[in-house]
Amino acid sequence: MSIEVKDLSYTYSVGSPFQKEALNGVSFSISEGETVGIIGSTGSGKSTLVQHLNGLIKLTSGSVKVYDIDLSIKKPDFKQLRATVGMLFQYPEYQLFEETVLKDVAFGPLNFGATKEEADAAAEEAIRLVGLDFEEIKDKSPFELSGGQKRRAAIAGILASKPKILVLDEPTAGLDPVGKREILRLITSLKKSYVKTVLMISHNMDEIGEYCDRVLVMSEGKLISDNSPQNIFADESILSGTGLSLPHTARIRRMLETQGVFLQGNPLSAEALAYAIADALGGRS
Amino acid sequence: MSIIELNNVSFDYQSGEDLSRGVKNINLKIEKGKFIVLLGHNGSGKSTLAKLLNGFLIPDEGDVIVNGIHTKDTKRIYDIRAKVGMVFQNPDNQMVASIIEDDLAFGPENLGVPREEIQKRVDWALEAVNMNEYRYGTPYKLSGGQKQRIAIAAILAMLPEILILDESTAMLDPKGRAEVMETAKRLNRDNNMTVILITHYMDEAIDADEVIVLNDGEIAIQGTPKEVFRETEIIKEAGLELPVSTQVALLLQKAGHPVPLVLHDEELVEAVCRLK
Repeated sequence: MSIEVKDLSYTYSVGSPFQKEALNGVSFSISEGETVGIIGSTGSGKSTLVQHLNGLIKLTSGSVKVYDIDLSIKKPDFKQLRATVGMLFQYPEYQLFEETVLKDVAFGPLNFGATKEEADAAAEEAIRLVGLDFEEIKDKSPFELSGGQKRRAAIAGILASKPKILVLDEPTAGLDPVGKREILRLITSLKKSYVKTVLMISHNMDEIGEYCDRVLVMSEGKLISDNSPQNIFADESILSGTGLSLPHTARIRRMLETQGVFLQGNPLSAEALAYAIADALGGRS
Repeated sequence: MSIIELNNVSFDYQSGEDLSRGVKNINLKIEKGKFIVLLGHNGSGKSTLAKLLNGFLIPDEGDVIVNGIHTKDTKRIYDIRAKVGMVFQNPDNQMVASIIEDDLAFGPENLGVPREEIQKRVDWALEAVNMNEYRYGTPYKLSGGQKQRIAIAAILAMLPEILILDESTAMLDPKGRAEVMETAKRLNRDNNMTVILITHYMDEAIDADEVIVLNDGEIAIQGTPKEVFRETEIIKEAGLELPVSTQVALLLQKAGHPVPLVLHDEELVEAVCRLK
């Protein structure tokens, strides 16, 4: 098991007028190898939840275990935890700060105690892994890169510490369609490297449906559903009251159903949907 | 008469020796009251174009004429800025006051509008974005969609004729996105507001009067959503994608099913049902 969360609750600003319950009794576990999407409206507790996973928020109630690092003990090994769980925040390109891309990407491993040579080697590997031309960009200022390149460089900065678990908060926000696809494909391909498990927060139901093999639905601090995207997006019932909506593909399938056209399964990509519709049409004629 | 006219407009960004492309040879006429969607990949020149429209940038070549005024006419630049309101991506960067009604009053106050008139405008703007009950609240407690609606209201209080939304839905959750889109469409419909919406979401373009696709600083194609999304090669070259239902319709066409080009999910469902 790579992540085990049991009965996790968290309240911000306890005892102040701003006291707000952000998480309430959240439990789930994630096995190595899974790509898990986390969906929910703004304020549903998604970010509070993932910030627990690498100790950015101190555990106050319930338990969290990441591999054999137990966060409910008195002094958990935070250094080990943060080397295990790489966290990519929203708009990570704003966090680039060094003079050169190489220095920026090598910053993580250096802080985890690697020598300069080790850190540079890890940085080179990470830069190549995200599909950037190492020789061309290593000495450039991160600020000279294009938007998509900056985001890749930021991801490389996380990967250089070789995390086993990658947590991404809205990794495609603000990117154009091609940039989005590239980042999603990159995330998928990373699982062939040292990254074993991916958790991804997104507001884009279409990409959650297409790229995740499991979805956690958060609403008002509670985990209200934990299932495959096919089941979560099977109809509107699970998402009702969450402010979320079905991906286009699932929505089309549902509308067809109410018109008496039934498709096989719950196709969540345009290709799979077209195939299923063609199948349904062909079978009758 | 067009409310916006661009004649052969080019603009490059210069830093030291380096030139980087903004936009090139743009010819464009926008009629009052239209809902225009501007699409293009990151760096295609969308935001540059938007900034040329309110005189934030002045073209290197060519003319930008808004409501009959040249943006090069430095004496009248504030007349243009008062007519062209912009809302940006991050709602948190656009709030200036800690009480919502003060935030809305900030713009007209700076334009020297009399107090009583300001109050009327604030009333109207809050009504227009459907946020009346939040008048005495603070912006920091709002959701992203509500914040963007307040940002739009703050622009409306300056009585613009043109509203530019520069990726104003990019950071929002699905509900917030829907709220902002609904507000923009309503302002366009009920107040005859000219809206220019910049977005990466293809489904926000399908109800537009006109879609303009920029690629590497130039207009790649311009027309109704159907005219634009029919040109799949140009869309692909411009680094964009088709709406999901359009993709599915094209795949079905390839497989020999006589499905027309559709843009909305509902249209696709209708077309498929007709084939049954």
